[in-house]
Amino acid sequence: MSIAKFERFVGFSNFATLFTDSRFINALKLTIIFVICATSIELCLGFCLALLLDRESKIAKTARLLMMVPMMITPIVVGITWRLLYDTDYGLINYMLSKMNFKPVPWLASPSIALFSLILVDTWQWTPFMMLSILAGLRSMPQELYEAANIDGAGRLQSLLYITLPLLTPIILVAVLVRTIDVFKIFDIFFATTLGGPGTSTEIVSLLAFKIGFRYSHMGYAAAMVIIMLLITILICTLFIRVMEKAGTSI
Amino acid sequence: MIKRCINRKTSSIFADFITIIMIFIFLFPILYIISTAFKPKLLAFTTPPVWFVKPTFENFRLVIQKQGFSQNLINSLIVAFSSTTFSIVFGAPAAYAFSRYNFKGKQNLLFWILSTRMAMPIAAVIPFFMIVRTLGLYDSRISLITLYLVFNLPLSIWMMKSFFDGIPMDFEEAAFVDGCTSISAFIKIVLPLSLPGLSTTSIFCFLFSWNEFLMAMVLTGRKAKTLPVLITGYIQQTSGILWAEMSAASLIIMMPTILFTLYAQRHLLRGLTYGALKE
Repeated sequence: MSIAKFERFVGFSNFATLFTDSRFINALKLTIIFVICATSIELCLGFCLALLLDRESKIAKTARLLMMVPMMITPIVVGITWRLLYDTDYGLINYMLSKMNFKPVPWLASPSIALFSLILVDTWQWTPFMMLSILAGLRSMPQELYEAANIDGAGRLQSLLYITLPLLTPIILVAVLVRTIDVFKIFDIFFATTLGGPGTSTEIVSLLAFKIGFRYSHMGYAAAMVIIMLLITILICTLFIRVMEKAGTSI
Repeated sequence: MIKRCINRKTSSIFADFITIIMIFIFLFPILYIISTAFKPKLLAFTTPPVWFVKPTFENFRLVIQKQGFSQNLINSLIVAFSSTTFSIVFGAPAAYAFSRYNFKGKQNLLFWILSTRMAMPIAAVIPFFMIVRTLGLYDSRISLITLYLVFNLPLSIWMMKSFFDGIPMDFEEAAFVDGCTSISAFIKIVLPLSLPGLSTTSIFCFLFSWNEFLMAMVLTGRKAKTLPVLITGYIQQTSGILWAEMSAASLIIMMPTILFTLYAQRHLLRGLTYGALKE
């Protein structure tokens, strides 16, 4: 089957159809919600964890090592594992909830909760990345600033807000940029757990493009979808890098 | 470290306690899979879950003896190793050029290489699928090996560049004074010095190729299938999901990644941010 025989140029009609396709708009909306929620939660949690683990105790050292493991596990295995855990009837999480006298939660079966469950999975896997990045930054903090602030009577919270955070800004920006790019591309855990979820409640753009390209064989349409996402990602990256340059760092 | 105003000891013990809770939260899914893999089939997925069973290797035996497993394992190994080799062989000289030379459009080229990371895997898979099918390379390892370069090569170039940037040029300059050519200086001086960088980059390329799922699923059929695709075969069974076997297979897939992570942990951050952040 040659490419030239069956495909023909239709100009921009794929793109035009995309903008009126409610399924695509829904997918775009879900993807953006997912990216914003996942990245923010990972940033906050990673920041707290970095502060927690920036110590010299043996437990902190072990923790820093062990926490790296979730990041590198095969994403498809992560998806399968959490599908087991999230199972409404047999999953470990609902079992533990029932032990504490809560009602079982339909993590992956409910259209309103499914996306949130998947945000949790991504957070579980990638918060250590934020934690590692911020830890690396915390380690290179010059001690003299803290000592000077202490002499001037600054409390811990003030040191945190006025010294640590500003100095960490470049690293936080790089980590958030990398994470945003990667979260836009997410596919494996969605494929292993919900495949678009109950209805279309977790049908993010990469899943939708996969379904349209390989289940319905509308390759051109799927390609158009993906190009729009690429343009959005490049736009976001360029904006980010500009903000980073203003803040005095570059990638 | 921020100076502590409260009693050091109590603060540490409290922090240690929270740390242990955090470790448990982040590791318990993995421990769950490990424990399920060793349970007998009937006890694997029950309510309430059975914790203390006599560990058995039955699931591993079933997985390994399943038709096609050894072929899939070999495929994964070959594809990962070959892709890593190619990306290092092509990436290291490119990284050296980016590190040592200045030329017009260098920043643009670097950003373009980085931007290949921004595209979704689906974006690459759609055209590659059509090309691979037209070329008759569907279900072949060589198509996977070549196409994994799409994300392995940028990773390799960026990571190696950051490692090369960290090697002072003095050695090469001394070599030039002695009459060495650029290529000789690269091969005989810089490469041996950057061996840790090469091994770190190789580990990351290997891991990403080993874990890659979407391209492998779309571009392979039965012959060149890799392990991540095999695992999804377990979910899609019509006769009901074999949880215990699936856990055993997951464990087998996870093994190299966990081992390599612990081995390369010092450079983990560098690998994941393409050299932008160093540990």
